[in-house]
Amino acid sequence: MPVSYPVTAYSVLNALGNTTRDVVASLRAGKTGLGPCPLELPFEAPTGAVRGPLPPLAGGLAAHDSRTARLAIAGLDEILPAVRRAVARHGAARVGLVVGTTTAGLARTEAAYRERGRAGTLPADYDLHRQHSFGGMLEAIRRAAGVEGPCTVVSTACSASAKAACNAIRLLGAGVVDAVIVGGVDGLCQTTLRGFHSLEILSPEACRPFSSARRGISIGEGAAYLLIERDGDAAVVLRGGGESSDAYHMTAPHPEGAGALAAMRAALDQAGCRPDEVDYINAHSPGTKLNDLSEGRAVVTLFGGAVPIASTKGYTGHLLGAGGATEAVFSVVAIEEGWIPASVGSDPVDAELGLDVPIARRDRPCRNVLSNSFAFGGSNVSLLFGAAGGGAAAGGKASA
Amino acid sequence: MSVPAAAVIGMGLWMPGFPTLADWRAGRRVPGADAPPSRQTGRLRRRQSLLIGMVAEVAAQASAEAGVSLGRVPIVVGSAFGELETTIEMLNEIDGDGLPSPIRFQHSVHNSAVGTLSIAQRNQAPSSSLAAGNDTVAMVLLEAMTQLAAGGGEVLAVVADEPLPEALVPRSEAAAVSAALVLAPVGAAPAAASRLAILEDLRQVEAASPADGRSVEVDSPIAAILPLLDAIAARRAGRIELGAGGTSRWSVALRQEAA
Repeated sequence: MPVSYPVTAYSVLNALGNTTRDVVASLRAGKTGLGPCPLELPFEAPTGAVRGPLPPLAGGLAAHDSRTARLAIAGLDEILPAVRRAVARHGAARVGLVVGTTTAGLARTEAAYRERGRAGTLPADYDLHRQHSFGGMLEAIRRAAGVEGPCTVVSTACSASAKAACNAIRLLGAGVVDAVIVGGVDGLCQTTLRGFHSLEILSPEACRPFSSARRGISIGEGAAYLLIERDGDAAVVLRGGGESSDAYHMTAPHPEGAGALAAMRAALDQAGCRPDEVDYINAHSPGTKLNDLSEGRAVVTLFGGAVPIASTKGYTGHLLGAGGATEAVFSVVAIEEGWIPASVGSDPVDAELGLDVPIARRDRPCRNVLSNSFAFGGSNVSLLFGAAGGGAAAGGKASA
Repeated sequence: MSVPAAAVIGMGLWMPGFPTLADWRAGRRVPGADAPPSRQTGRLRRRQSLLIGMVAEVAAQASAEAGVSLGRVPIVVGSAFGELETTIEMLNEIDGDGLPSPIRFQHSVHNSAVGTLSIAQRNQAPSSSLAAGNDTVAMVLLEAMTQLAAGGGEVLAVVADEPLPEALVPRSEAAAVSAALVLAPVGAAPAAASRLAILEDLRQVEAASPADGRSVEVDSPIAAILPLLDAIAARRAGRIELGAGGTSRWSVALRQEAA
């Protein structure tokens, strides 16, 4: 039976805004969130930093405090009413939590390690288990959400929170849960920014995905959540999740996009959806030529180059572990509200790719939207979202 | 909770001094077995963390016993802490205006071990990398068992953690642990493989309470798999806790089939 799980609520927080409404408004307006990096770095690199102070974790969660955990908890706020409804409806033990992240509390450990270098000992309140580790951040989110079903972090680099949605499909399909919070979160930290600079793929200017003028990627931070339920009222359903491994190289994508193609095909197959029923592709494209060529070839092979394809990395930066969930939210919005965002930074589009990259917003109904997330280690994920009932969603539906 | 049952058709274990499950069960410390075999050559040792080496070793052991090709089996790796050794090396490198080595950075991600394994084996099947604190072993089994329910075939479930670094956790006594299981649907285990046991009824004994106090953090949550491997090897049956002393609320039932 084809997969069809309602997306009953969502929330998103990143450089575009501190509420879902503000983020979507900036995306709709074609306004980038990239700007100067708030971290002190020995090189220039615009980033997508969340604006304003993030409240420290309070009460029983204080021991889990880190920048990423603060982003995770702040981003969860808007979706909590819907989560509480799901808990009341299904029971807390029937609601799961799957979160994608790459860094968890690494920024906290960077600070603690610097302090250790200066003072000779770690700060008294440093706690690797609660502040650095994936499980520590997961536990903070679980407690804030009030859920008691299976909880796990998926950490497959930049495909992590898209893969979290695939886990959710399996948990629902096996009857283990009735609802899953699918989340993604990552915060800016020195190791990540310096690491991408060391790989010589960090752009000195705001990233320009699919553009012939591209110079590399920009990094961002944020959090996003989707509540996926077995049934319920929603304008958009999760229809498929396709996964593959490139088995090619740790950082370079397969040159012909073989893994990307396999992931996209698997997502369509799970949904029983034909390529010509896809109205928009939310690209992975972070702004490197190798990625664009690889993803472009895979898309042209499967769709023939006629489907509009945009990257939102020019708005938010590459959100790493938060990217898949964030772009899943953008895909849901495209279906709900009937518009394809401008691919900011893409003009002039690299003609060699043979893709239809919108450089201005296109207002048009979307029945099905595919969202790609590809990662270090050759981890590829493609998610398919569709309008509930098969047609384009009429009008919008407020989140949460 | 109704997680479909799975047959165990292969196992692997590597710990410092105990390079196989048989060595560990016999308490037979093997001199010189202080690093996984794939990590003992000079060139690879520089490029591979202990975690990458352990995952490759136990994956090879379990897939060989199961008669399953590492070139096509889906792989789920669980590690509560990920690439700690590499993280410490990068923290030293980024002091001041320094940059991490690009090789080190690309191998610092949590899915570095499964990515390295899939590249080495040219395995294009889906793979994943999970972490869930004290529930890491349980969540890897859950993901593997739900993958089987959705797609059949076999799934290689690997769990591994390096010891916690002295620099970040002074006085930790946790040792490196790694283990692997190859799982197959109960009704469709490959003919060549002998079923070692059936895993069923994976569940939480009682639901975690979201509002109460802190959980008890364990330095080596991966070690929760050891009683399970021991029981399978001893052909015992019964319910196995997936965290000693209630540190994980998850448990799984082990059933033996009549020969």
